[in-house]
Amino acid sequence: MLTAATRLGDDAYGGAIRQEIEDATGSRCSIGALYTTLDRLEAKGFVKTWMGDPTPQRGGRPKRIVRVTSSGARAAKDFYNAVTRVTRGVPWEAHRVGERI
Amino acid sequence: MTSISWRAVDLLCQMLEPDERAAVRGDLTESGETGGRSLAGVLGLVLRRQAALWKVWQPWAVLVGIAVPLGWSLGLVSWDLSHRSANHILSYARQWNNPIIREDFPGFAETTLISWLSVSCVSWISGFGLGFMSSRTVPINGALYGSALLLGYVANPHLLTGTHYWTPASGFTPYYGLFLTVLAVVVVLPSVLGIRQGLRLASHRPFIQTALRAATIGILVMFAIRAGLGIFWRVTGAFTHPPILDLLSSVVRIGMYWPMVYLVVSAVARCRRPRGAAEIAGL
Repeated sequence: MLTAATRLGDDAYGGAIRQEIEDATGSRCSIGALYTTLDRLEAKGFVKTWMGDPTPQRGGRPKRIVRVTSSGARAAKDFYNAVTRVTRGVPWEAHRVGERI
Repeated sequence: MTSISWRAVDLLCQMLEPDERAAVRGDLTESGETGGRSLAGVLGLVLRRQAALWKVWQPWAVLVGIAVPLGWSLGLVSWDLSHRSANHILSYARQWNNPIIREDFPGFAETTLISWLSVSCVSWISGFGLGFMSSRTVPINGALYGSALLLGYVANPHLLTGTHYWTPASGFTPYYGLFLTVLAVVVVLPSVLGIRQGLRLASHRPFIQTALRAATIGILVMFAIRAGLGIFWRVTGAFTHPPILDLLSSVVRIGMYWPMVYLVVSAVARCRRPRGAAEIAGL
């Protein structure tokens, strides 16, 4: 979710993040999982959210805008580094899509 | 089917906070998802939100202290009351030409009305407690309260042992018509009105909230103590009431009619309050 929100930048809001996750993973992301995870990330200070202005495409309803905070970016980087470190040398690490195959 | 599922989505969204409701409904409109998938998504979110509310002790206290015991007790009491009321009303109607029966009627009417009023007040207090003390978990606690009420009817000792004195001469339709009417007027309606009032006051100033919470808990605890002592003395076979039980009964009676006082006072306060321009214009 942090990756999707960072990638979307200023256009990051609930619906767009969900779409981004579904496109990247190829699997469905439920609204329940999206909004409860956003709340948890916000409680930890990793993202900041607020209600945007209503738009006609959304039936006059506002978006929940999302911004990744600096501590969120740091946490995502730490997590990525940890995953990279602990998966070093395992078979699926050596055969990542687009690498050494 | 589509419009039904979208209506269900809108209904479920009512259980979300206003901001979240708007964001979720907007996301669904924008994504162009089908009604069925949207319904499943919103249902998942509502369930997660409701589950999160139960991580603290307060909803559990309301469940164990109000929803289940009061729902079940009211089920038992109101079944008996509705049954007796329906039976007696039909008996009086059948024998109305008898002057002795007519003479006896005012006394019966007075006793019955007082019983109805008492049960209505307890139902209102139960509903108020549910709405006021667990406003966000009221859908679940309210449903459990209703289930406990239903269980009180279904698992009634009179029904289970077959000792209820329903007279077939009363007629099936008029008996159950009256039975259900009494039940609706004396229990269901006051409970729903109590929940509504409780929800309305749940966002009041902290001082008023604390005072009302203390009053509700105090009355409910007195009910429980009075009922517990009553059962204890009946089980132990002591037929003479100890003075403490009489004193508690008097206090409980005052507490029981608290909704009447509250409703009269709030109605007077509403009448005395200067009306705003929107209210005068009928908006």
